[in-house]
Amino acid sequence: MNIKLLLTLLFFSTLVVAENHVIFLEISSNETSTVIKPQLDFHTSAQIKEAIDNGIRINIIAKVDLYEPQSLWFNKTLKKQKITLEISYFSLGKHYKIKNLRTDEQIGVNEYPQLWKELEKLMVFEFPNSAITSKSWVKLRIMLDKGALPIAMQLPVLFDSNWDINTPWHEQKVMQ
Amino acid sequence: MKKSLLKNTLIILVVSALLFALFSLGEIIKGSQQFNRIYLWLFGASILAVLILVIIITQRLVWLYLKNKKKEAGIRLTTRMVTTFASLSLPPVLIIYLFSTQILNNYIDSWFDIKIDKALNDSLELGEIFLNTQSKQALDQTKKIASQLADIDNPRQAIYLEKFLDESNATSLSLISASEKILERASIDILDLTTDLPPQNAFRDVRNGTNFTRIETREGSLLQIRVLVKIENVLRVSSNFRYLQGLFAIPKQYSKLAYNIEEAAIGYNQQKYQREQLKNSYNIILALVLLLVMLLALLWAFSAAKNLVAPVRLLYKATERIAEGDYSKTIPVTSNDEIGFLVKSFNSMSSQLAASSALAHRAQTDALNQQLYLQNVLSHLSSGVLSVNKEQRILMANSAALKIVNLKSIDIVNQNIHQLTVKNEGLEPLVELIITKLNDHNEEWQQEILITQKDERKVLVVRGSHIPEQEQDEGGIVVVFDDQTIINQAQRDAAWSEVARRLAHEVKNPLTPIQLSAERLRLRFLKKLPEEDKDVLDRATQTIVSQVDNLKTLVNAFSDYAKAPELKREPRGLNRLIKEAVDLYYISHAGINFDLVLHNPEPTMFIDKVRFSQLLTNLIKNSSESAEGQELTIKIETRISEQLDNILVLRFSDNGNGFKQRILEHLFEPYETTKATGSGLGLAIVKKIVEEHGGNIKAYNDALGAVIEINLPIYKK
Repeated sequence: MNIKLLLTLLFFSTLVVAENHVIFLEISSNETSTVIKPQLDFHTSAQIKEAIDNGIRINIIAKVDLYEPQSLWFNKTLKKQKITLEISYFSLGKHYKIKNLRTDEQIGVNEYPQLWKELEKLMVFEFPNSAITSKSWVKLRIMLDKGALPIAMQLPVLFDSNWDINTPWHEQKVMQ
Repeated sequence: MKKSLLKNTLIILVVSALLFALFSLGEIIKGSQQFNRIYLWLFGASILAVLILVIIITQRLVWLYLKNKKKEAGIRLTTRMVTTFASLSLPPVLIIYLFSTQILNNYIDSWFDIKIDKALNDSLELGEIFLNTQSKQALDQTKKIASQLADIDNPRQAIYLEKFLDESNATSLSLISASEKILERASIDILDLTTDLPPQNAFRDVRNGTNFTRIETREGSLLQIRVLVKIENVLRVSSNFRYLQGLFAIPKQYSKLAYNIEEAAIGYNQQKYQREQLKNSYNIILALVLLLVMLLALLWAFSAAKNLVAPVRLLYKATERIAEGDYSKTIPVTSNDEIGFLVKSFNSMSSQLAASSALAHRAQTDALNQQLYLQNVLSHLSSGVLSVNKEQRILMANSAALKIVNLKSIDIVNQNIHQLTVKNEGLEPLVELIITKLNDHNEEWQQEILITQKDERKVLVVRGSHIPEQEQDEGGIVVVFDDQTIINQAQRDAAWSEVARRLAHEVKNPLTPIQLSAERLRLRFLKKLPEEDKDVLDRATQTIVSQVDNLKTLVNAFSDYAKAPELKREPRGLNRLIKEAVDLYYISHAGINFDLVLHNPEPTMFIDKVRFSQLLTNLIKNSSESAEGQELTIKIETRISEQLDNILVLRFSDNGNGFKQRILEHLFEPYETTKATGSGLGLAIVKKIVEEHGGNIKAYNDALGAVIEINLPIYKK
């Protein structure tokens, strides 16, 4: 692959990144903990659907950092959490499955567009109230785990903008 | 040495890492899931290693280019060898690469046989048909239970749920409210206390009148059927309807078979989907291997060329040094092969050349010394020596020859003999003589010739000898000549001195008795003779006395010329003497103008005052007598010579008639005069006084009149 093509792909990949994003973080508290649920504006390309329909398992990672901003230094991270969701197609059942790899919790979705809306349901982050202060902020991003893809796909996907579905970091104050 | 070892170690490490990375990549692509995450890193490391190799090769190529530009020893051979090695190694590698990719692509394509494809699809369809049948049965059972429950009021539905569970094949039955919350559940597994809800769309479908059935996985490879139906509110006791969810387990043996079919289909579809990507990945790895082989071939080519060319380069440099005359370089013998033999032979040849060269150098030095000695001898000779070849080209002229012919070496050496005539026409007699003798075959000859240079005439005694052709290419003659002018002049001067001395001696003695006798005759007979005889006697005796006086003057002059008085030289200036002489003459000859240009400060001369006064008087007298009626101006000037700073030039010039050409040649010889009353000794005495004081004199005419120029040495303490 020549340099020109590589640069072109990198350029277009930055354009695609801007498409997916976290709309809002729904933050609710009870006596002991604070629960954070994201609302996503998430789209994927036909290439990703084709891969899933052909039995490729895709891992989506949701990363959450709880932190306190520092004026003259890097943010002070209070807590970190990560949820990895595996998306696959179950051909005998003719539906898509989303599985939380940590808890083995899974849901089934009949239609592809609905699949990405259902992601939100499994992305529930819970932090103890003791870790949260009045200055706490939370940031969240969703990204495709390219390292979990089959090896033959990893290199082409690395430079393919159709596979760049990562969202930018969404930052929000915990206590409004 | 240390740097080279470090460089080689680095290259070996890079190559090893690259080989390991490529091997690992090959293994990973085969399907090792645990290495999934290091694939990209390994790929990146491989690219980095290749880049390092490319940089090393580029650096060597740049080095090769720069050395080529400088045209360093052995670099062209290195370039040729690198090109040859590279061009020899590349085609087979490229052919192997092309065949490998072709075979690999064909091999990957062979995985996807249409029969396997069909068999898998058929298996999958069979499994689906079986599961659909099971789903239909489960749906029918669930619908039947739902219709039975619809006839029961809500609070009692829960009581009948266990009963219906026992009567059906369901593993779990759940009553779900319209608000999609589980109200009651019955399960075969009493430990299973939780039941998950069907998806959102299932409720929506059921509400819209569509039944929901779905095959799901449970506990790994086991399958179950989820059914959701609506329980119609027949009794209208409550406004809300309910859902019934039934879970039906597929028997274990069927589940496993169906699951295996599913897994096989997924695996096959995955491979099929990744077919091109797989090919590309292998092709990239093969391309990396190709690149590695090419780069290693180039590296090896560089290394081999360098090692092979190293002794050749040393030989080249040593040859260059030998060409420059340095035989000291010995090349170390590092191998026992043909190159080692060549180096040994070269060293042997070099030492033999050194010995021969030393001998030749010694002989050359001897010859050179002899030549220098000969040149030295020739340069010290007062005789002029010329060597002329048969082509009439002057091969050699010593300094005396150049001085005699008054030319520079560059004017005549390696020039045709006629060049002498071009430079100086007066040399024609000499040139003609040499050309004549060149064509003669007389072994030795001698001849006296007269040459002229400006106003000066020289008598040359020329001797010649033929040089045989065996001694000099094409033969020639060697000519030796001497300037005889001074010798001839000296001989003439000596002869004149002798004549003057004898004349003075023989003539002076009888003069006094003649004069006395004439006076006595006059005294004795003048008064006794008659008047007519008295007059005759008086005139005759007067004439005798007068002529005797004249003769005395003449004899005294000859006597002065002939005698060699002792000089009383002392350091003193000339200016005062010149002024005194001019003053003395100016008083008695008021019509003559004097123009004095005397060097100031006057240099000190070592001169005899009396003799020099005589010199000045003679010269002034000579000039004053040259004018015939016209107004005469005598210019006397002194200056330091332009050529020699220890010589004073005393120059007398006038605007008279000048010297007659015919006497100019013998001007300083006695008795050379154009004047009726002169003795002809004035300038001869002047010349004698000048020579007594170590100087020389010359006379010539310029545009105004006569010029006499005297060169005298300045006194040095």
